Amino acid sequence: MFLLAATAAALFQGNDGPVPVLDQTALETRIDVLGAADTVTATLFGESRHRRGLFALELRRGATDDARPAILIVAGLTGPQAWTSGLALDIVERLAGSTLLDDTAVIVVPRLNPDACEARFASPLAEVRGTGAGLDDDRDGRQGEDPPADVNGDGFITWMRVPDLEGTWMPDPTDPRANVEADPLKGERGRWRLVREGRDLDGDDEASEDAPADAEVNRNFSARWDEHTLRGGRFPTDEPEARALCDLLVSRPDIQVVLVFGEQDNLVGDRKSVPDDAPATNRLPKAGLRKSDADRLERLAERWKKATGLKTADDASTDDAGTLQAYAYEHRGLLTLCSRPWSIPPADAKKSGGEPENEDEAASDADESTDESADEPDEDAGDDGDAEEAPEPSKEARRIAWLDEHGRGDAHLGWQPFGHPELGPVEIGGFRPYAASEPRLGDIEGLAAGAAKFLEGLGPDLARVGVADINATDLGGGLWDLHATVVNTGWLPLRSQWGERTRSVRLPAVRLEVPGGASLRAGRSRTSAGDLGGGARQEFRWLVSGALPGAIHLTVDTDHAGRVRTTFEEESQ
Amino acid sequence: MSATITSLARTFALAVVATCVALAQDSSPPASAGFGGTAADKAPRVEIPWNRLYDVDELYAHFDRLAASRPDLMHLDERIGHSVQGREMRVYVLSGAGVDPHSKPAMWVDANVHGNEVQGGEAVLYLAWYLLENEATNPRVRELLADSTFYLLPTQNPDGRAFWFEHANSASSSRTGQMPVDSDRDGLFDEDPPNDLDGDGNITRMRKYTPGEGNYDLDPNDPRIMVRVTPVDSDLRGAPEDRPARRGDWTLLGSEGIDDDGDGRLNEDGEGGYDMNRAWPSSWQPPHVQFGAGAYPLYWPETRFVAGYILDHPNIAAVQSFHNAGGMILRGPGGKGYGNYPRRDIAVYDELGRDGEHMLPFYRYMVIWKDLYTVFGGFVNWTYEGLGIISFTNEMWSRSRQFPDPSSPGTEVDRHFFDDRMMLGDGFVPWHKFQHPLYGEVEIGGFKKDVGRVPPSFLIEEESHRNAMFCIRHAAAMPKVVLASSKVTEIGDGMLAIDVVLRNEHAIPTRTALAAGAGVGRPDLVTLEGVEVLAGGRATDRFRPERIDLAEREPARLMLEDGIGGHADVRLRWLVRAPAGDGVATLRWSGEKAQDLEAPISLK
Repeated sequence: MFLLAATAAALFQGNDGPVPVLDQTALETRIDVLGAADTVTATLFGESRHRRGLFALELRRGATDDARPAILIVAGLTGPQAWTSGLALDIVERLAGSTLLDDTAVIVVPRLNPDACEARFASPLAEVRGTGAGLDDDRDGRQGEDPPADVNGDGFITWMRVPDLEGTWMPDPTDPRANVEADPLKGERGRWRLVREGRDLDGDDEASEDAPADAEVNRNFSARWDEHTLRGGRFPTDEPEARALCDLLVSRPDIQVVLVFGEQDNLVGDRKSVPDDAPATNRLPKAGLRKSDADRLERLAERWKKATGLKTADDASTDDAGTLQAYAYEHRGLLTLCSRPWSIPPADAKKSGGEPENEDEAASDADESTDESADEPDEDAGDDGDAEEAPEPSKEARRIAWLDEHGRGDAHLGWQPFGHPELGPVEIGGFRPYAASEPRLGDIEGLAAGAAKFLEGLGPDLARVGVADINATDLGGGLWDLHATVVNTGWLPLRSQWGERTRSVRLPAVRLEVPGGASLRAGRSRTSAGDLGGGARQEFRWLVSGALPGAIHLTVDTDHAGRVRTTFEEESQ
Repeated sequence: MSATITSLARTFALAVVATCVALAQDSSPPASAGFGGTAADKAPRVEIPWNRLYDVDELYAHFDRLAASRPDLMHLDERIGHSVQGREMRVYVLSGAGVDPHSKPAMWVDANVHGNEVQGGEAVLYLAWYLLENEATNPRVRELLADSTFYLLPTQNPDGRAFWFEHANSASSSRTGQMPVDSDRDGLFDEDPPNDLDGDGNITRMRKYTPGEGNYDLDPNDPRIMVRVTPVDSDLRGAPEDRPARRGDWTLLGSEGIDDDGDGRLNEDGEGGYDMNRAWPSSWQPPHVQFGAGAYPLYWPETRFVAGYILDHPNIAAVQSFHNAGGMILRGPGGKGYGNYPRRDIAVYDELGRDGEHMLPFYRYMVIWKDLYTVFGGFVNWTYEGLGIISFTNEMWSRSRQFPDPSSPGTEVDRHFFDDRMMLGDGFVPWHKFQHPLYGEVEIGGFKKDVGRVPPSFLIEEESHRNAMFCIRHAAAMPKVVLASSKVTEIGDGMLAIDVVLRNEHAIPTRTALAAGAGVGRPDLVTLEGVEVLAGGRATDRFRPERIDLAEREPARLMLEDGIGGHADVRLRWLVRAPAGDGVATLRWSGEKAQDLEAPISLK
């Protein structure tokens, strides 16, 4: 019913309508509806810190317990990404009848961070990332005493320009609504501090500097976890959502590929890699995507772009420390795809070439200066052009321009003077919460269908074991020469390069079962196949006496590439 | 004109408090003293034989007896953890009566995270026993318990301990917990453990007579001893290929066992198969970097219980986690990549560690990665690097103790000499024949599981005592903050200056340099109430009172992120408005890792 309502709303509003964002109740209702399909099973696999349910929908047709590869999709990791839960469920809806499910399982976690997503519906409205363990951010012996707040009563928690001679920010000359960092080398002077909207309740001349919750679910995983940071939390998996997802991954070794809808992107965005044999330092392997895996991703990325029409992930963060995707890839060895499924495209292509190199720096600067948000004012990095030239619009200015050009002028609230009770005259404004992070329906038209199509195309590419050329030759005297070839029928390797290196995914176990009374004269009854790349084969041979081939079975068992059990046949002469 | 007024009221108040505490303790039951600590002193109130090691239930039973003997001093914490197999993880809380134990600086002492490293459990038990027996008579014990608390977890791995006691094992097996793991990655769990083929309760070794095809010979003087044969005689000159090849007559076949799962390997997938001392969040690395680390930090319920308990007790200011063996007093870092600990904290470690070397003969004070091996995600690494607590791991028992020349590493001949002369051969299973399903006739024999990594029975008491005393030394170094002096000075214009010196009498700072640098925990807080405070801050020069590191705001509420160093003072100066009449201001210091202090300051 909800689906119809949502679709009707979309039709009514046309492509300019906002993307429907589900609150937890609506999410659970829709999960119930989708879970009614024969191919879909919804399960509760954990609870958020604030006791909201964490749900997984498993899609498969046929047996519920056979070994087959699975694809895990995770969405809804932060407040600004709450809308991706709907995208994930749209994908479920489209795949529910797909033949993909005949031999592949798809597990969808539409909302890993319901607490942050629920803030999407709170009043006043604010973009929320941190929902977990709180720290005494300002080291004053009090925790959470000075949270962000709606000071001007407009219903939004946005940003404040606080006039300050030591401030580092100034207006973008091309659009004074945008903030840029002043460059003293160009003779520029900062005019204000950018501060999250809020009071100075503890009287320390700092506003909104100590929120009650700090740790972010998608910074609370163990891969390259940031210790002693607000966002990282007390320890990896301290946040119940992160731990529940880790347990899901541990309990489901059949998961072969992970797709995360979040703030990072390795399909459309940056895909820097390190050599497969990059040396370790102090025993620690070099972090990052391995070259062989990057090459595979390259091909998948092309197909992703073609299927979804996504071209840019302009706001994607390259900082993935402590994230789920870093854990899934670097600690679990799983091929992991990340998509930031919508972001404001560059308004014009003038600057699009030069950015990735400086993105790390720009992102970390933004973290320090504007508190947390990748969506918030960002420095226009990499501008070393002639000072005589007309100034380039900053990235933030370009985003505002794009929103203006696309009829979303209300996405930026402008900057309104306000007499702050503690800080004096300030300006309050910036992007309306979620306005720059959530697409309109028209922006993501075809995205769910494209993603579903991509996943259907991925199915045949998944690594799957099979047994070919299985036969038995009678050597006389009751001695049989058994041959079998274990093959990977998929395009992907049995283990990602990183999975191979880390041995976090086990090799195929090859087991020969001979009946009682028979004797194994050569070969090993239990052994393992090696790393089989896409389409690769490996031959095995045994000598057995005392049994006919039809009584001898061969089993090949893998973590996430299926399982086969077959019987030898006498070779036809 | 200025006047100096010593705060007599403060001194008096403290004296009253001290007397009340003393009276309360004097009236606590029972008055009869226990073991007095010297050789001819009284019999203990609770007799515990110190010449054996105890399984989990016995260990807890002894603790319960101790708690029942002095319920005013020790109790079982109602917060009880559970192991993978459901065994209880018990924390006993030991502290002087009259004050909330959780408000005092506390030392966490645990043992046995490696299931086979058992004797730390007895050291923790001994520590509790000694403190309880001596509390009534030894003023230093009384003071220690009045000032501080012990959280005692006798075993972090009760499943591993139980398995080591109840099943056939070697000295090194049952290090793990008991969650099944597919160690050989064949899809089956724990299906090929070592097997006690001869049923003697020990997993020893197997050897086979393979004349001319082996790599060992028997020692001609003692055929119990296997002597490795180097393939090429290194005593001869010339290129290796020109020297005569040498072969032994015996082959060592490894630990007692069979190929249970038929994969061609023996004993490669035993019970468990992980390491709960690689599970801790700081510098944690996954299993492909660090064996046994688990799927994510604090993966096992035992580790999660301990971490939760410690995180919920920020008053913990000292940690000891007993292991065996080798005679080491270990501190982090666990890996080279970490860099060095802050110098100020190393000074504290060094003071304690060097004392420890004198208290524990045959022990050396060492840095884990540099002097032992690299550990990612070690427990004491987390308690220091993550939580800023001065933490040690003692590797209990050094085999050097049984060798005639303790400076030499000791040989198999020495081990047998000790076993023959001092234990009448009880520690060794003589080689005996066994018909092995795969190897045919073999011999099984070797040292028993309770030889090598644990002390011989007659030395358990000494090991326990010395290590317990090191804990006491460590605990007594936990911060203790006193008001060293206070002075009120009239400075004119209706204002007073209040000068206060807060002193940490002990070696461990109220805030380690790590905690201060990383912003771990709550900074120390000093407040001055009952008077209008105009300005205040840290006084930075004792001879120039105007040099004050002024607080920018809330001068009556000073945050000290760096706390008070070990054996160090913090000087504070406030400028206040002189009250109309005789006023009394109240000074309060509070910190996470020392008892709070409150003192009236007369403004007369």
